[in-house]
Amino acid sequence: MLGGAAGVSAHPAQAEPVDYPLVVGFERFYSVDDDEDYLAEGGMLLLNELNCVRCHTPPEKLKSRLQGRQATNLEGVASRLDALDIELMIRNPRFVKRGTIMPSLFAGPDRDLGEIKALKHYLASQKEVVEPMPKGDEEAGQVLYHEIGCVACHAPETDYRPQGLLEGTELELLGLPSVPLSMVDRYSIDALGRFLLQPQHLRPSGRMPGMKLSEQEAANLAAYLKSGPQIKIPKELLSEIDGANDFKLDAKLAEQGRKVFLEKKCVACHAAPGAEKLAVKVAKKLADLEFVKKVGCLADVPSVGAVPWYYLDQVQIKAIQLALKNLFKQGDESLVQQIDHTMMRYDCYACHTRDGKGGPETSREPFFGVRDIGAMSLGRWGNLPPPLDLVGRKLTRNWLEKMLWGHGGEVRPYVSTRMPQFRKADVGHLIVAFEKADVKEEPVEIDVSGLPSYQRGHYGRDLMGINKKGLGCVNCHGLKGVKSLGAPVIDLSHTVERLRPEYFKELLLDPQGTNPGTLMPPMFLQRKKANQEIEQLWTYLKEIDQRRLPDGLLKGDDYEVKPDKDGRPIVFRTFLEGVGTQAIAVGFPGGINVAFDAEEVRWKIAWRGKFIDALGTWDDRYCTPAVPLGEKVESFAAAMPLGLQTNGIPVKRLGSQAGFKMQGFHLDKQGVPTFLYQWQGISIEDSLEPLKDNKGFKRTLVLKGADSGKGIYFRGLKQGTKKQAVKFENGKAVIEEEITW
Amino acid sequence: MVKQCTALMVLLMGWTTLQAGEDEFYQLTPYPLPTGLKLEASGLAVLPDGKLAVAIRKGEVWILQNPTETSKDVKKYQWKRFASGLHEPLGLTWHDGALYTTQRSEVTRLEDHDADGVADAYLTAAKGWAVSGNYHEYAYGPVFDAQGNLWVTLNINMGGGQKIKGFSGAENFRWRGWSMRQKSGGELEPMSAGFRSPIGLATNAVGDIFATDQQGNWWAAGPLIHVRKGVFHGHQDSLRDADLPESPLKGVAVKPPKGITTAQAIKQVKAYVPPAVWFPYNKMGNSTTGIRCDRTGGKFGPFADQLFVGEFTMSFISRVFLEKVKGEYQGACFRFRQGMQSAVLQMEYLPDGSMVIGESNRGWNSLGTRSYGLERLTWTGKMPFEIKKMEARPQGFRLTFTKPVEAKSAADVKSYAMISYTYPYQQAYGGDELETKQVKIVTAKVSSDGMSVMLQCAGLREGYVHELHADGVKAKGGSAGLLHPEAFYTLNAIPE
Repeated sequence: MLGGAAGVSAHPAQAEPVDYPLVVGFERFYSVDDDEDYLAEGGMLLLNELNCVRCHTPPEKLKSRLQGRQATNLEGVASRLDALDIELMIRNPRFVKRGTIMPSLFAGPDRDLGEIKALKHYLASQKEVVEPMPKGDEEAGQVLYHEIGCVACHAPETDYRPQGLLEGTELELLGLPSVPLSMVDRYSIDALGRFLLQPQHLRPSGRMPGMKLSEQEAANLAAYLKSGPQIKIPKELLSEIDGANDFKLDAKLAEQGRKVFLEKKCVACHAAPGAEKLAVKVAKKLADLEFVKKVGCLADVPSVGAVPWYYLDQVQIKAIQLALKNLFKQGDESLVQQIDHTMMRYDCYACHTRDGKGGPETSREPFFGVRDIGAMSLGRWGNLPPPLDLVGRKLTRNWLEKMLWGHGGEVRPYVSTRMPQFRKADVGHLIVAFEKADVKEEPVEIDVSGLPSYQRGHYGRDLMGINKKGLGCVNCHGLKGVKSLGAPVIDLSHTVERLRPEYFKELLLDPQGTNPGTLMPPMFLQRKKANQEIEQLWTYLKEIDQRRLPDGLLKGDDYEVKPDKDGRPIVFRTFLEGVGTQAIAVGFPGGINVAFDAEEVRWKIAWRGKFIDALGTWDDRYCTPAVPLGEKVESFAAAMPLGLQTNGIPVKRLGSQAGFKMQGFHLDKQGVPTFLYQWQGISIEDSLEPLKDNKGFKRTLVLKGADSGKGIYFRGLKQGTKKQAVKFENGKAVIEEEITW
Repeated sequence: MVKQCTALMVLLMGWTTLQAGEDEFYQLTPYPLPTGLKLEASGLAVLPDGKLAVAIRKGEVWILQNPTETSKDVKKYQWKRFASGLHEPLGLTWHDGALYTTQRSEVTRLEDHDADGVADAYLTAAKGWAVSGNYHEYAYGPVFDAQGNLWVTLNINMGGGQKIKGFSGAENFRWRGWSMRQKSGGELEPMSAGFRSPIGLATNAVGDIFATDQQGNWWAAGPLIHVRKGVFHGHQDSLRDADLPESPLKGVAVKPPKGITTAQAIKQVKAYVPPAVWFPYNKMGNSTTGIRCDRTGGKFGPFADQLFVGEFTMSFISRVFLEKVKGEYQGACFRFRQGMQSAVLQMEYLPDGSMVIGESNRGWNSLGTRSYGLERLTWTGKMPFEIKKMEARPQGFRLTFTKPVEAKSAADVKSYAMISYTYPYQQAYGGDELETKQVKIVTAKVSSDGMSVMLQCAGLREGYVHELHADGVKAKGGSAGLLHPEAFYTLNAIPE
C-alpha cells in the first residue's frame, strides 16, 4: 500500500511497518515466549494503551492504572488533513498509518458508506487557523532528526551515518520496529511544523513528547519528514471516494456526521468540538468480558455494529485474554510498579534504564550522538542518557520538574540527545513516587549550613582545583561554562540546585556503590576529613556564581588589569613587589607603567608591557603582593627628590623620616595622576607622563612655597643623576626631567 | 576580620523557625546587582541628596542613584562607579562635603571637583599606622565623633608581615590593635588599645564612639566597646606599643594574672575597661560586625537611638540598648532580624528610614546562599512585641516593652528565668561561660500602663552577664509572646 519498493526504504516514513497496532512498551518488553503471568502484565498495558478501558469500565481499584489515553484532538483536523485523507482515515486507519493503534469502526460487513461520508463532512468542517512556519532546511532537519533523540523511538533513515560515527563502523539492523510516523506525508507542512513544536496539543495522550525545538528547528524537521516519498492512492480507490479531488462541504451531512461520531463511539477516545459529551453507550464492564473465546474486539474477523477492529497480533490477543483472566488478582499498584507502568506508557525506557530494565537497544546507540568529541572517551556515559536508578534521592524536586516538564535542566552539554518535555499532568506523579521509592534507609547526614568555619567556600575551591590541596575535580568537570581540562563531564555550576546534598555526599563517598559503572573516581576513599571536605565543596558550589573559578580553570589573565579602551591610565593601590605595602601603581595605555610609594613619598619603579595581576589584591585571602607583569623593571634611586644644600640630614632618609608628608593625588581630565606632598613648607605636585614614543617618561614637578634660604636641590629619578639647585620665582618653581631606560 | 568559630546547630534550628515572625515586622529585600559587579559591600554612606555610596572590598566606591527603587530591573537602580583603585576600603562616611574611606594604609577623602560623578582627587586625610603586609591588618572607618574628630580602628596582625622585594617594613606593626584619632588639622594619635579585629565602628546618638570586636584570643565572646582615650579594651598583643612616646597607655604593658575572669580583670588589669555589652557566643552570634545607631526618629520602628549590630557568620542583625551607670555605658543586647543572604558587614539608614545592609563573607564563612550582596530592611509599620529596654536597677531590672503586656502573665515570676555568668580573660581562643548561677526573680511588678515591668532579683553580680528569658510574658489582648524573649544584660555596675 505504501509507495516505494519494499526493502529499499530509505526515509524514516518508509520504515518497515508492523501489521498490528504498535504499543511500544509492549513491543519492547513482551513476546510470545513469555510466561502467562508476565504476559498478562503486558495485556494490562494493552488494555490501557489501546483504550479498551474507555468503553469497558475497569474495576474501581484499577481505575488509576487503567485510565486509557486521550486520542488525537480533532479540533481543526480539516486544516491539517484534506477531505480525502480524512475519509481514508475513517475507512481504514491502517491504510494511511500502518501500525496505528486507531481501530477501524467501518471494517465490519455492515459498513455504511453513507455514514463514512457524513463523518467526513463533519470532520471536514473542523477548521482552524494554522500559523505559517518559517521555511525549513531539509538537510538541517535530517541532522536534527538523527541526533536529538527521534531515533530512540522512530526509525533512522536507512544507511544514514550519524555524525561522529567512526569510519568502518557498521550500523546494525534495528530490533524494534519504528513508532509509525507515515502520517507526516498527509499533513500540510505548516501543520506538521506546529505539531512538532507542541505535539501534546494535538496528541493529548502525551505519548509523543515535545523535543524543545525552536520554530526554525521544527520547520527544518518538518521539511525533512515531508521529503519522503508520498503515499500513492490507487486509482480505483480514488474513483470510489466521493469528491476525492473536488470536495464541497455539506452542512446537512456534517450535522449527520456529528451523530455518527457519537454513535460509533469516536467520542470515547477523541475530543472534538461540537460533539457534546453524550454518555457513550455503555459496553460491558472490563471484569465481565469474555476472555476465553475470541469474540467482539478480539474476534478473528471484524464484527458488526460499533465494535472497533484493531487488527491485533496473536500475541496481543493472548496478552489481553490473560490480563482479563488475571484481572481479579490485580492488587494495588506498588510504588515500583507505578513507576514502571508510567515509564512503559511514556516509553522512558527508550532512553533510560532503571532497576536494570530498559535503555536504548544497542543498534540505536550510535544515534545518541555527542557534541563534543572529547565525550567519546567516556564510553556509554558520553552519549547515552543517564540511568534513572536512585533519581528520586539524587535530584531535587525542583530539578526533577525542570527535567520532566520545564526548561534548562540539561547539564550534559556534550550529549546531543535532548531530554523530551512531558506534561505535569501526565508524569507529575512520578516525582513523588521516585522520592518515596528511592529513599535511603540509613540516611546520609550532611551539614550544609555554611556555619562551621571549616565550611568556608575557599577551602572548597582549593579542593576543586589543580594545586597542592586540590583533588583536581576540574580535570573532568567544567564550571560556569568553562570547559574542564580533560574529558567533558557534567558542568557543576548547578550542583546545589540540582542535587540533594545527601546524595552528593553519598556519591562522593562511594561512587560505584551509588551510581554503578560511573566514571567518577573514589576521590574520598580513606581521606580522613572526607565529611568536612564534601561540605566545603558544597559551600563553594553554593556560592559558585559569586566565586572565582578553581585553579586550573582560571585563565592566566582573568585578573590582569588592563587600561581601558578610552585611553585613561589605571591607578591602582596595592601591595607591590619592588615597592611595598603602600604602592600606587599607574598603568598607561601604551604599555608603560610606574609606581609611587605612598610610604616613602616617591616614585619607586617603572616597567614596560603588561601592568598588574589583581588577584592577590581583589580575591586572595592572604593578600599576596602583586608583581609588575611586564618586563624591564627599573628601580629608581633610593633618594628623595628634594633636599637642603646646607643641611646635614643623611640623604638615605626617606619619606616621613626625611620630612615628606604624603597628601594624595589629583586626576586630570585624562585620568593622569599628579601626586601631592609637602616638604619644608613647600607644596609639591609631581607627575609623570609617557614620552611620545613610550621610551620613557617626562616628569614635571611644580613647587609652591619658598626657599627658606638654606638652598634647595633637586635630584632626578635615575640612579646616579646629579643634584641641581632649585630656583623659586614668585613662590613657584617648575622642574622637568626625562627618564628613559 | 573574623575569628574561628564553631556552630551551634541546635540553636540555629530554633532561630530558623522564628524568621517568619520577624518578616511580618521587618521585610528584607535583596538588591539586584549589575552583572559582573562583585559587590562585597564593606562601607555604606548616604549622600546629602539621598543617594547611597557603597565601598566594595576590591577597591571601588559605587553610587546607587536610586536606593529606594524596588523594581527587579537592575537598570532602574542606576549604579555608577565613583572611585576605583583603592586598597580594600572598609568603611565609608560622608563628612564635610566629601566621602571618606579607610584603605589599608590611609584614610582618604574622595573629591569630585568637576562634579561629573567620578572622583578626581584622592586626598590623604590621615595616615600613620604600620602595614607590614599581613593579610589580617585590616583598618576600619573612619567615623567622626561629636567634636568632629576623625577615628579609625586597626586590627592586630596575625603572624608576620610580607617579605616584599624593596620593602623593609615587614616587622613593623606600629599601632596594630589600636584606635586612633585625628583632630581637625592635627595628626593621627593613638587613643586606646586592646583590639583584635574591630570591624564595627560608629557613633551612638550623642556622638560617642563605639566598636565591636571578634571572639578569639583575649576575647571569649563578641564585645561592644565604648572607645575613648587612655582605655585598654583587652587584647594584649596591642600593648607592645603601649610605651611608645605617643601612647596614652604608658606603664600598662604588664603581664596579666593567669586564670582570671573578665569580671576580675576589671580590678586586676591596668586600664582595662570591660565591654559595655557582651554578645554571648552562639546565643547572640559568633562575630559582631558593623554598628549603626537608629537616628530615623521612628521611621524604622520603636527603637529610636538604639544601636543595631551586624553578625558575620550567622548572617543576622541584633539590637542594643545602652544606659550609663556610674559614669560608664552598659546595657543589653537582643536578637532583632535574621535571614540575611550572607555575612553582614555594614548597615546604613536611607532617608526614608529603611536600613541598607552590606554583605561579604570572603575569607570566612556565613549562613545564607550568597558570598556578598546588598539588602534592604524595611519596617512594615506593624508593632513587634519586644523588650525595648532593659535597665539596671539597684534591686534588679526594669523591662520596658514596645506594647502593653498582659498583666497576669507579666506579673508572674514564673514567666521569667535568669542566669548570670562571666568569661575567662585568657590568651587561649574564645572561652566558655564561667561561674554560671541562677538569678532568682523575686517579684515582677507591672506598671499601671502595662508598658513596663520591674523585676526584683536576688543574687545580682557585678561584672557578669545577666541572661533573661521572658518566655511567659504575653502581649495584652492576645496570646502572643515576645518576638524575641531573650535579653543579655552586661551588668558591669549595679546602680545605687
